[in-house]
Amino acid sequence: MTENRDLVAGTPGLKINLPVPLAFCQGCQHGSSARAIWESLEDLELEDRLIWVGGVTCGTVSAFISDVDAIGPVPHGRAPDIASAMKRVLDKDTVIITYQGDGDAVAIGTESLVQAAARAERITVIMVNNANYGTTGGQMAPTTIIGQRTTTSPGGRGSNREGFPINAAELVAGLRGTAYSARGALTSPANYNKTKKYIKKALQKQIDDIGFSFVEILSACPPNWGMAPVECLKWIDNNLVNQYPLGEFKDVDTL
Amino acid sequence: MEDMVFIDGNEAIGWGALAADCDGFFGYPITPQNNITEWFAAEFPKRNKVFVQTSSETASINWLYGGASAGKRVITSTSSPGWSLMQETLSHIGNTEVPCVIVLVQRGGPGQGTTRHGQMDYSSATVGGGHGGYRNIVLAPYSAQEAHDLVQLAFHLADKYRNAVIVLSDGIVGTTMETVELKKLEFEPLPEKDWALKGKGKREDRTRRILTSAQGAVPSLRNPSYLALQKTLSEKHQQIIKEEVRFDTYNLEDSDLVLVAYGYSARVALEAMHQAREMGLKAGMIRPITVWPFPYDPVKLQAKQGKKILVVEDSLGQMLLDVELACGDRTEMELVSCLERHEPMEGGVIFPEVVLEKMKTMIQ
Amino acid sequence: MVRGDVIIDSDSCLGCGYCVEFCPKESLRISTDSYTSQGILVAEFSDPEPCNACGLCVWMCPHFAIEVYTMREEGGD
Repeated sequence: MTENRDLVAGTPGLKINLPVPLAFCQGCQHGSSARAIWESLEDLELEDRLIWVGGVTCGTVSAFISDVDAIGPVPHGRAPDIASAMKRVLDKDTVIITYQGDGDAVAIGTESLVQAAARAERITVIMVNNANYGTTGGQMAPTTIIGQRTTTSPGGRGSNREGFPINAAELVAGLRGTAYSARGALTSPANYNKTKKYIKKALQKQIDDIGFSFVEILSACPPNWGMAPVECLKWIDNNLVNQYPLGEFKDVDTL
Repeated sequence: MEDMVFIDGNEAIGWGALAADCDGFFGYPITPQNNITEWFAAEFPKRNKVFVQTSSETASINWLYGGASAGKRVITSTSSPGWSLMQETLSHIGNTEVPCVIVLVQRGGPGQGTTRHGQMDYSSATVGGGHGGYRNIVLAPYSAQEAHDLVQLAFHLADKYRNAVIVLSDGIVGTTMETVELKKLEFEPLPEKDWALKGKGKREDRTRRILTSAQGAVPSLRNPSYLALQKTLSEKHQQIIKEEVRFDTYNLEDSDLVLVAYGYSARVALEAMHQAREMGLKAGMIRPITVWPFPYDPVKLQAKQGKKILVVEDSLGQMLLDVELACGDRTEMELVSCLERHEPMEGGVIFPEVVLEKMKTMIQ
Repeated sequence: MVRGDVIIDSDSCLGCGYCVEFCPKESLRISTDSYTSQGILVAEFSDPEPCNACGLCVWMCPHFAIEVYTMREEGGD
């Protein structure tokens, strides 16, 4: 049976296994984000000169099942600092990416992220946004949207007490050192393809030595959102995107 | 290349790092070590070495973590409040086991404290100010020359043990100008850093490397389990304690009283010891050069021989705890502390005369 | 007309349903009686006939549980 068929699509080439079993929650899209990154790295032939800096997020599991040099979890929020140092001390053709969650990047990590963008650091930050602190069981994050219930905003986030969510892609786009900032989602094959395109454009800004690059990826977190996985994708398309529109917010070739 | 220069202990750090072929400095302004940061800003870029002023000390120590993980020789410098900000990442560095050097120019604390000198971060530096039970090697220079020399030793020990090494200076050692002989010290050769991250294509077999500080969930090659990490750390600590203790002794043989002091207090205590000897008092001194690992055995020996012990430190008693650990209640022990400073505002120092008076009450 | 074969690894499948949702040919469904050792109902290739090996299920699967093959024509080269 195996002789008369050809593989069309399967496990990405850069995915490897660890001696201990590691799995995401049912429907969690960290795996899909990792796939999008792996495919982008392979398309651009970057795997040999890549270092993956994983923040404090469930998604740092992907750092360890990637066949590239990796470090993680680095201190909360600080991945851009670690990545920047590596970029400065290593050969210029080394490509450094960070993979961070929203709770990591725009709460404690705000200094690190904003400063890296302002410095026009030649690194690429990928922030997977599931609008809560997922790893710790679903607490409110700076990206939780108004009305969204979390374990620390059980009545729904209210602007009076909890203020307003932070749009990271737009924030980063507003800094002069940013060469590229975009937001994608993985809620459909079309969105998956667009997100891959954003990731590749971001990496190209680093390769071409233009400036800082940033891709935010909206991602499902079914256990913490309290919805079935497919419902989560619909919630992203119908609710989350209202606060976090998809698209490219900055794309320049000189700073 | 040998050069005699007249520089302060802060600048001596820079020249020492250069002699050690340091690749990068990441730091942030804080008094009383600003001229360290400024030295690196002036001297490193023109030598094609990396200098970055970061946005905070929290950022500095994370830049250090990154540079160290890439296998480079990297250094930062700070003072006491900045040191506090570095603790979480020092803990990560202790787990991941990457080498780096941190210069701590102590000032008065706690809090914003003073912008001058102090010796109040000893416990935090030697016991590990962050969480989790890691240990850092701590070297304590007492002069600009020693600052220059110990920084080079720091890089060597950091690489040898895959550990952070602290150079514990203070505002007086840092800002006092002295004659320094600039020279490159030689150390035993060390293996290449095969564990360093650089992109897998740069290795012959194209295998990748990972570094982690979370072996409870993610195994690494060096420490394939959390328990393996604990074992590695335990063995490393034991080896350092066994092999890396350094200290100086003065006039111990016929002494009735032994002073114990480090850093600027050691200069004060030495002067007091000389004055005491001139008066016929038999004073000697032990000066720890490594305060972790602390020279317990030489101090214990003096106590066993019935010598009285006088600790001099510009704090309420931190190195005192190590001396007490060494001596038990074998002998009489006293402390000249920061409460004996000559002046109540931030410029107050412990003068040799105060130490001498204390010695007289003990052995006259 | 390309014929496709979809292999779902039931050790990796967590039954999230994305593959089912995005299959344009309705060739996949969540099983009603096939469980993993964790008690999860897995996805299965229930209707191979219309499958044209587009591979969308592979992309949308977040757990790397799917491989898609094209079947070569009988007697072809």
